[in-house]
Amino acid sequence: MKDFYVASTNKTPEIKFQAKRGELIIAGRSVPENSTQFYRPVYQWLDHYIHRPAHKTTLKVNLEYFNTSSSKCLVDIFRKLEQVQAIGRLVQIVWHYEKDDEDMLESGEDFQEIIKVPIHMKAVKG
Amino acid sequence: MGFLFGSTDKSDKPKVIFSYRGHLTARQYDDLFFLIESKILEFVPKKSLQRKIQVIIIELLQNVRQNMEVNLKARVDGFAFLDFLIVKKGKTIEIMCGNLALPIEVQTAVKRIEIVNRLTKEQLVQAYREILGNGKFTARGGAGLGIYDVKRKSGQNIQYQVKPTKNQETLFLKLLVTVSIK
Repeated sequence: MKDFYVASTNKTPEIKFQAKRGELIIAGRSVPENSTQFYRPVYQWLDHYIHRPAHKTTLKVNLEYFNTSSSKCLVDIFRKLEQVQAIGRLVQIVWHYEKDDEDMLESGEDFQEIIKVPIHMKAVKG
Repeated sequence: MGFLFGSTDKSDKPKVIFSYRGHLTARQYDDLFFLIESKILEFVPKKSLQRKIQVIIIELLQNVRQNMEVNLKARVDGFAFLDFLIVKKGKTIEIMCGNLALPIEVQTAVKRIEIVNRLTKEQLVQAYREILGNGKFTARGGAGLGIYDVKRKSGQNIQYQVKPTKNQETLFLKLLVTVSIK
């Protein structure tokens, strides 16, 4: 399976998914006007990955900020990872936030409440 | 009530950081996004607050783009399609976002704002999480969370005014959001 890469822009994040290593990274900003359109190729890649996942999958989310429509797209991505977990593979999400950024911390906690995959909060220096 | 809605409190002289009156096409939205970002970086010292304010502004402008009829005239009866203003007053930033809209859109927006304004902090978090997890997008691809997010991030109720225009087909909806930058 091919890896997936999209470079970041001022409004959209870098997306770097490595299938064999099971290492998935979303980093930067995510404030596109049409979030579903932006994330559609990501969903499609994950739909294939679900059938042949790595033994262990780690999604690192390291976002500066994101709009609410992106937050729903993130939920959709996390739910696809729930499917990987449901077939017995190890899955974890690492949610990065800068130490003094309470909004990003709270956002991670929101996802923890509604997603079954473990979400580890990782404070990083701003 | 803040400066933008006519407070008489003159204790802190307000400074206009950014103002814009005009339409809000996709191109204009992009231009505003970058201009506003540079102003926020200039006037708001702390990175986490810069991001908070940037996200609030994005939600307000995308709310206009996604939930309002954007093919209205650029000006009606002296009102611009979009009247957007950011003011720094002491330790607060006030963001005013006014736009022309169809009466049904205004009705829907006002109803949502009133629901959100009635929620306590805990109720707001609960409601936010329920909508976040419901898997639904609005017809125009929005999350249906914008106003919830604006109240949550600002920590304040969203003030609003509805003004009639002579053209009875449109109203002018003005929102005011206040953010503490202490």
